[in-house]
Amino acid sequence: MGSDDTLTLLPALAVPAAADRGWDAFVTAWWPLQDRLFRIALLIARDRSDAEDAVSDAMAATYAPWKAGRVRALDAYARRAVVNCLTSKGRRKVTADRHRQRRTGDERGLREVADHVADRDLIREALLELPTKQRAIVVLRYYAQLSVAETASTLGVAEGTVKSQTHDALRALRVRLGATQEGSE
Amino acid sequence: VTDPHDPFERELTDRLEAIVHGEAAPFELVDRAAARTTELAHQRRLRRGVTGAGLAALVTAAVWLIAVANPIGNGTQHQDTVAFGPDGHRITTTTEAHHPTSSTSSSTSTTEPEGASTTTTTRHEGATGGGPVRSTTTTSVAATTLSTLNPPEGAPEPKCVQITGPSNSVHDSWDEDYRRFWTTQPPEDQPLTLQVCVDDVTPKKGQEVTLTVTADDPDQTFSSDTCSLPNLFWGDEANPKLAPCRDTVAPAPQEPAPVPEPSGPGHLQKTFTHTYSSTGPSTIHVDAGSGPDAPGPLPYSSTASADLPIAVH
Repeated sequence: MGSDDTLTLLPALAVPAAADRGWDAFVTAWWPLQDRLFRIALLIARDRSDAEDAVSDAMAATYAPWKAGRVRALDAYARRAVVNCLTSKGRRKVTADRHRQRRTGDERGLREVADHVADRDLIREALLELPTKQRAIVVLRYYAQLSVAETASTLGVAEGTVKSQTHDALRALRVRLGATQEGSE
Repeated sequence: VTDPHDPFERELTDRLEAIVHGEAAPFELVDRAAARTTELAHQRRLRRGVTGAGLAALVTAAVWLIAVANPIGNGTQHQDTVAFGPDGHRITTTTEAHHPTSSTSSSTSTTEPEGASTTTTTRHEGATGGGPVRSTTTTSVAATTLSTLNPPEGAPEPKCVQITGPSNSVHDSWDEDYRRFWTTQPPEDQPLTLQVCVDDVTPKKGQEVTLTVTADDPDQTFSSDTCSLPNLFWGDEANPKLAPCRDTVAPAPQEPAPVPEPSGPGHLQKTFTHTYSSTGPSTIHVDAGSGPDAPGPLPYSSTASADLPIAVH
């Protein structure tokens, strides 16, 4: 987790008064969470542009309920919004379409996460071979360090599903990495 | 959260952090989010507008259906009458008259729709010796007709109207907390026929007008007291229109009673005179009813009302 853990304790995360729920106040509350959310999105998304879109879409989707005072824990709400953006098939397609239209003037969309960050990283490659939901579970549990219950709440699934999917994902990763390492030896 | 003793899981955590180490969200994400927020707000407004339009369409359709089912002016007419029974309980009578089609009216003829019906619901409250009691009296107008009898050739203007009143049927209704009013279902009531004739429908101011009222009920006699006399309104406020002194209500809650035999036929004929002191159109209104005056008519009691327009010049 590192220093990002302290972000959840910032006063900006508290639910502000109704008079302070404008866009600027929201950005102020959102800003400390953004990098952490973006990294989670980078690990779950297949490319960088999807991660960016997921974070910006989640931010936009969170603003209205936050302004209405319906968001009590902004970090958990925002995390769930980001993961939903990435695991929802419909939204992924919309995001991809929107991104495709933008590619003409911005080459960032062409750059895969693996290309940009760790294209030789075996874990990254193995992670991308997992189904989206399993990948999200692995990221939330082993990167975001969420409990089974928190992961289940974030994904909107049962805790038993999280446990079984974690088991399946780890087994797949072990097999993939073990085979790769045996092959390289 | 995870198994810290499992080297694979420990390594997984470290490698995941290493993958995204130093990554930061681009600054323009906030601007993109702001644009997306505006877009979402617009979509919400659009959805709200569509929903509002849909609701408005539904309300309009519902109002239209209600209007079709109950045409204004010719539709449901309500009349509430409150009375008190002999043992002090309250009797509320609600009358609804349904006319499926429009009626037309002119100086020479008026036609009312066939198939009209009147439903009278009588509610008894606070009766002694038990809870609230209810009864239902349904009056069906199978063929209410209003026709103008044309005079012979060369005679003055048409001067008579004849009304066949509603068939009054008192059911053997009951309440769970009470009992039947009649031990058996009474037979179908024969309606009352009311004829109202005036000697001249275009009298002059100061001219005496003679009105003849004739009522016939095949199965019920007319009472001799005042309430059975026709209520008469000349239309010029010389004598105010009287409220019917006999309500169509079921018998007071008593022990179940056997259905009596018909007492008719009954016949009533009376003549009245009046002099109009002002010119202009007027409507003579007559109410007539057979049977006793006290609340709780016999199942053969009937009523009828007639309007006869005249023009004083």
